[in-house]
Amino acid sequence: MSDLKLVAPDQPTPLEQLLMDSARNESPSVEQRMRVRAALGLTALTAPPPPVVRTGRIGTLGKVAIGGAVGASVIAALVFALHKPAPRILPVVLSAPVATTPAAAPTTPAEAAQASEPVISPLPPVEAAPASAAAGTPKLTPKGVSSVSKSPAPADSADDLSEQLRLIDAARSAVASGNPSAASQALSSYSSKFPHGSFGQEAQVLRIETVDMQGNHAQAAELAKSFLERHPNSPHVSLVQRIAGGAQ
Amino acid sequence: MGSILQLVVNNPVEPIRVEASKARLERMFNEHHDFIWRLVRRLGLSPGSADDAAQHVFLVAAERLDDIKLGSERSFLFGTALRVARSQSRSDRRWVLEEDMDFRRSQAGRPEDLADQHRAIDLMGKILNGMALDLRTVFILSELEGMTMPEVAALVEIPVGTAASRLRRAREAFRAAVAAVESKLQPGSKLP
Repeated sequence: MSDLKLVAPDQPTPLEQLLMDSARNESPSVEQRMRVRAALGLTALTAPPPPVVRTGRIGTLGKVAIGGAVGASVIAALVFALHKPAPRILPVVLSAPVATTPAAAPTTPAEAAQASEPVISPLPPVEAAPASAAAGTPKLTPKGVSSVSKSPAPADSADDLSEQLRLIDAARSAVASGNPSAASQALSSYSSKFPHGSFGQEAQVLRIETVDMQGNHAQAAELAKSFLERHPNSPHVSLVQRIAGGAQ
Repeated sequence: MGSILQLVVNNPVEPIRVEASKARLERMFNEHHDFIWRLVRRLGLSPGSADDAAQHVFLVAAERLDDIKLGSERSFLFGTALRVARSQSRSDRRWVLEEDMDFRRSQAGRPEDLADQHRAIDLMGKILNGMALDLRTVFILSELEGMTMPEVAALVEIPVGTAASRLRRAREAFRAAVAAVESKLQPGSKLP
């Protein structure tokens, strides 16, 4: 009989303990946290979460980067927006209840499980946009969009991440304020500086929005379809689907 | 039209409300993001898919922030995470417990090899995937997230007695699965 049998019923065996500890200690990477924060449009107004990062590729420097990184605030975007045409799609974070918002508030897990897909706004993401997309008049192709890699560069430094977030946030703010030219400029800068950046998918979605805002609906739809083919499980599927469908 | 911009124009107080919403979202992120990420991971998603799923969950929360009752944030995120994980796992690679448990064919032939964090996490994922979802959920919340039975019961919306019963069965299933692995690693040997 194995020594395992000598273990008291309520006491985990060494292997059980090892497995549970490994699961308890696993945590999302700093980069993941930053990605979600960026997607939500959260700036470092409050202290960043106290992550227990054990295996993050970026390390604590990355966490520090959150502080000064996320770029222009949504409030600033709103101020601009007061003087500009309303963008077709607004950042999620600031979304007020809109007509599409379900009336019933899901306050339980069961209700939440039934909640409709988010009318995802855009805040998010990126995938490196084609470097050929010049500011103001991007010439994107589905192929260009697809070239963007979601996978973050493992060796991103804290400074790089800060810069990436700054550019993405600038693009997002520009989209939110109805300024596709500025958005395109920021995205072009992002794709040229960080062709394999950590926010490639986010950049790609913003690029699609930008093209759509510029009136190139057919092209935006084409890019959106390409995006959906390549990222069927992206958190931004709902938003991209709206663009793909709306332009048809 | 109900755009945020028009609301702001028509209501000078709107920016304050927006800022409050933003602060609330920030709190939700700080307090629950890692929990949601671990939850979807333990529900069977790969790290990459867990990243996407966690982000999706918070985008849903941001979109429906005004619908979420104060104090029900974790409950909302939990329910949404279950749905998102279920949806995402359909297209994710599925682990097959029986195949993966046969470590005799792998290079990791000794228990100490499991000290490698990734292998241990993988094995844990396989074992959890072999559990029924209702048992797995309670096991995750109680054993891995350290929640009390009343907390688990409230979150899953089941009686405390049911939660306790599920936890007992989940522990049994977990121990049986681990024992099966141990027997295949080195029958009769001591664990490190």
